[in-house]
Amino acid sequence: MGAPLRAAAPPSTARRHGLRAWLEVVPFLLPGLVLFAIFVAWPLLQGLRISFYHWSIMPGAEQEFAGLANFKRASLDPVVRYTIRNTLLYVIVTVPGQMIFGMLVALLLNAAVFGKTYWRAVYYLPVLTSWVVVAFVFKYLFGGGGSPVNYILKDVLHLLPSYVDWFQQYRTAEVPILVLGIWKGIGWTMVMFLAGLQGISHDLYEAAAIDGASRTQSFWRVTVPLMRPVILFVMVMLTIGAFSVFISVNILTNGAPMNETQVVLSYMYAQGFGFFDFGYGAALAALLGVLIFTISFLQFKFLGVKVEQ
Amino acid sequence: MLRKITVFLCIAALLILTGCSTKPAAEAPKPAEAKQPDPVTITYWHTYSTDSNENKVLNETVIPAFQKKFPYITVKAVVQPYDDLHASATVAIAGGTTPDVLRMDIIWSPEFAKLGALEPLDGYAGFSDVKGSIAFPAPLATNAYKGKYYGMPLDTNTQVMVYNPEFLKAAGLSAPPKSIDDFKKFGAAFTGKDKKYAIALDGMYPWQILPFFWSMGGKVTNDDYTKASGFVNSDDSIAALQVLFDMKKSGALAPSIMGDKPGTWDGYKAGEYGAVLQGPWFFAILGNDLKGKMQGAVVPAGKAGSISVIGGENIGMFKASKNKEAAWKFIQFMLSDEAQVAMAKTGQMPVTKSASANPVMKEAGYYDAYIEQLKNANPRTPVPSWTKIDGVMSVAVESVFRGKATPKAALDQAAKEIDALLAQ
Repeated sequence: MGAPLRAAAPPSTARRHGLRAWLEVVPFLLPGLVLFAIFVAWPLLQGLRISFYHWSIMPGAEQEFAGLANFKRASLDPVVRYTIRNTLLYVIVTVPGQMIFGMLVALLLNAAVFGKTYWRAVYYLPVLTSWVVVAFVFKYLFGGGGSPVNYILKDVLHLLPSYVDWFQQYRTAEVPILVLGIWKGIGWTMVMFLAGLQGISHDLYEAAAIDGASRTQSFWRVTVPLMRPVILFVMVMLTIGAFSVFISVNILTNGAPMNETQVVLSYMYAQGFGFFDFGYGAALAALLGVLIFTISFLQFKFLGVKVEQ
Repeated sequence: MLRKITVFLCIAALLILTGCSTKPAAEAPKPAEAKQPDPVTITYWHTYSTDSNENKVLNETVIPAFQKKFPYITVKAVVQPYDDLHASATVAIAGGTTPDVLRMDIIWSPEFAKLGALEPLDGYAGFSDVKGSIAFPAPLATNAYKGKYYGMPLDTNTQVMVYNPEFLKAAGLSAPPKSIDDFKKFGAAFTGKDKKYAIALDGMYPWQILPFFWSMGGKVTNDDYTKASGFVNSDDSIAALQVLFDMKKSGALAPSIMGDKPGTWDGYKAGEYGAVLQGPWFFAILGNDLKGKMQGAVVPAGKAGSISVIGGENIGMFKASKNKEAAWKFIQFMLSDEAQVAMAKTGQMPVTKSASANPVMKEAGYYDAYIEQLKNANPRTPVPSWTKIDGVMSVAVESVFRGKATPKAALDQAAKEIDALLAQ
């Protein structure tokens, strides 16, 4: 009679144990979870819901259900094709761009004997500046006629036969957008990489040197493999960030000429806040969300496997 | 700085609140003539820039005069940048924090009305008097949506050609060109040589393009605003766009239209542009600097005559306003002679019959061409989807100017898109 009872006891105590552990943890998790629910999960779901309606922003207005109409419209909209092309271009150019330059600066700083703090601050400065302010500065730098960039490229370096009207055609208008994206992100990647570099034991480089490895070899065989988790993390964060490019495009070109430089978020903003077409804007945002999720997932799946040992 | 002000305001509010609450209720006897209404504050959003003369007159003359008349109403005027008003209004509407009264571009009225954000004014005391006082039917019509009026015109304007007399003289003309054909001859005289261009426009959007487009017989839609196919891509429309494009190719039309520097204002000041298409504010702002260098004239006439585009603003109240009576009193006041004449001195054309006849209109010296042009000026298609149609038209013109499409192909495409927008 006693035996079955005793036999049942261990799982039950374990459960009680687990429950008690949970109760102890919940108060610490709760604030974060509540904030997450209110400011992340709820707006996210609400945004998804809006994408299925011809949404009116009037409080209390009757909402007209649209089914998949907004998504169908997006698939037929030629501007959406531009936005996807431009967003992907931005990701493909600025993510490696920021990583390469960030790595170079981090390596230089890691090897630097003096002035490390000073240079770190200098390279980090663009990260701290406001997107709006630097976008206006770039707009000025890349203006038509004898703007600073034109002046340097034509009159000083003689690289161009004549002044370029940067914002007048699609190809040249992308240049300031991409350059700004890279320049502003170098500081952040540099700080991340520097932290990773400083975590690598000096013994490993010594051992590699004794084995006869050149500097390049020890970079590819020692630094890169050990930095893999940091590189992956930086890449995923930069990719997500690059997909969300908005302010620079909004200020530098606002889609001009003829919507050809529009990115997904700037077009979404134009639809929602320019045309009150929030359903369509939300549908575009949802599509972008799916795209970002898929790519981040693939990045972790295919590049992250070997990292966690 | 801001934090200091906030802290100060909080303390001030606390003092006032506690000061009030400690006072026994009995000690605050109501005055015998309790007819004086409770004090209210109404918020007024407008788009006059902060340092403009309009803003100064509004805050220093017009609003004080109103508050003197209605001491219990305080008007808080808030500057909204024109380009951001759409976004600000969107946030305010969704969040229920709209102002009471709004001055908006006439092209936005149908859109806000359709959204249900504006209060219909038809039922307010004295509405028909106010409506009857309006001199111009076209701006008035932009407030009508499904048989009700969701605002009143506040000011009106149109654009006329402003010529540099030196250019006219150099081209051997004694007066501004009257017809498009004469204008083409004027254009042939200045094609970018020595940085001298016959005409400069601000951009490729309807506001600057339509006067020429319409005058040459072009149309955006039919007269009921229900159909664009066969109108925006009619032979006349295509020919009109071709004429503008030819002027661009020859160099008569300055590169400023593509967004190049100098812009129309700077280039005109520098004596590089022979003509621009501008509203009365051009004279009000530059009049002193360019005395004797500006001559207004109606748009050169094509086969449809001389037709310009109507601009201006409407004044309306938001449905969510809690002080609708006070808001209506303010709207009425803004259409009184007192307010209309005061604003007319800043280059803003009045909309009422009596203010239009006021001597101030003669004294300013530059309104003649505008008053003449207003007799033949069209509104931009007054439909809720205009903002989008504006974009479609701009892309059509731009694709021609950038050599991406022929006028016919561009306007055929525009016709298809505008038809879809009108059908919504």
